[in-house]
Amino acid sequence: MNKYRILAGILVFGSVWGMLECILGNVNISWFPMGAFLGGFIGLGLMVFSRRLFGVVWMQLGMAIVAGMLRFWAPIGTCIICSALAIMAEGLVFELIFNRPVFNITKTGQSELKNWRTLAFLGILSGFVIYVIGYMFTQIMTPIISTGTFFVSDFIKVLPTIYGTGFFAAIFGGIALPLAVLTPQLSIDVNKIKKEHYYAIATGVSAFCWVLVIAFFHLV
Amino acid sequence: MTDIKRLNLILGILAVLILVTSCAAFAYIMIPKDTSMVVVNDVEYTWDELFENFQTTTFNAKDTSFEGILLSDIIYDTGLANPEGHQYIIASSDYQKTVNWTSMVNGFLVREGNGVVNDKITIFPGLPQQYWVYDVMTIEVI
Repeated sequence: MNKYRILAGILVFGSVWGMLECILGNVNISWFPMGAFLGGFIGLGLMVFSRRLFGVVWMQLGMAIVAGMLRFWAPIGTCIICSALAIMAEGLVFELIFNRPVFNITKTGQSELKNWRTLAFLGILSGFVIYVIGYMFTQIMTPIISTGTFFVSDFIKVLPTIYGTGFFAAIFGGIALPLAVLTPQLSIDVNKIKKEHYYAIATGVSAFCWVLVIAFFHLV
Repeated sequence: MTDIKRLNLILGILAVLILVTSCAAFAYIMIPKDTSMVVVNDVEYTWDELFENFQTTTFNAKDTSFEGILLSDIIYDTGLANPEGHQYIIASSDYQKTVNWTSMVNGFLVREGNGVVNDKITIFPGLPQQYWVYDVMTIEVI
């Protein structure tokens, strides 16, 4: 695939992911596990979907870097850099799981990974791991960056909460992965989209996401 | 058993294991805990006692106005000598944060937050929100 198409894909999917992280991350619904939804459904779902469309490894880490950069523009909480780095860590974890040939979810992958049950199992595992690693990452990095100290006892005490709320990320992952891989309407051949349309849509969608976040958090 | 079937079986077992153990962990953290008292440096206070006997201050954090008691005032009340030479573990049943004296001088114990939050929390306006400990039960001096 043309490398510029891939770069445009990284930009557009990363921007959409970052925009959803910023906007939905700002929504506070006490009964809804928003963090688990963002990691297990939105993040994982977009990474799986883009892997299906492009079939390019390490592209999703690029998306996470773009999403993390956009996250810098949304002052939710007070350790923005930690949240941005956590998104990037989630992208890295995705690559480490899905770059293994046995978990090849692209069209060239093994037939068993077209089975909804296998995909749901894999989604539960990956949704959980991606969320838990991201959560642990912020718990370690935030004290280090904000106060210059890190207490292992503080980290150990929060582990049951991280593990327990990971339940919801696992559920969301178990839904997102089969949905992103098996939904026929989401199966698009990006190579067949006309060049001028492809780049126009990628530029427009990316610009919309960045402008929306900057306007939402800095102008409104 | 073929490799594919073995993979499916392993994934299935791991998925069930994750769901069951994480659900159990979530149930554990959701068990209601008695938060009617706060133990500060081994001295027990009820929330009513605290808000009747200590002076409250209005402050801003995260674009919201709160009213709370300075954490350093409560530490002084426990009679701790040389408070700046210690660190403080602020803990609920399943969460804790360790802070130094400078943070205690700038941190507050809040009971209700003007409709935004309705919990018993510590708020440090100068620190990330990760340092807000909800349902505080103890403040331990180390």
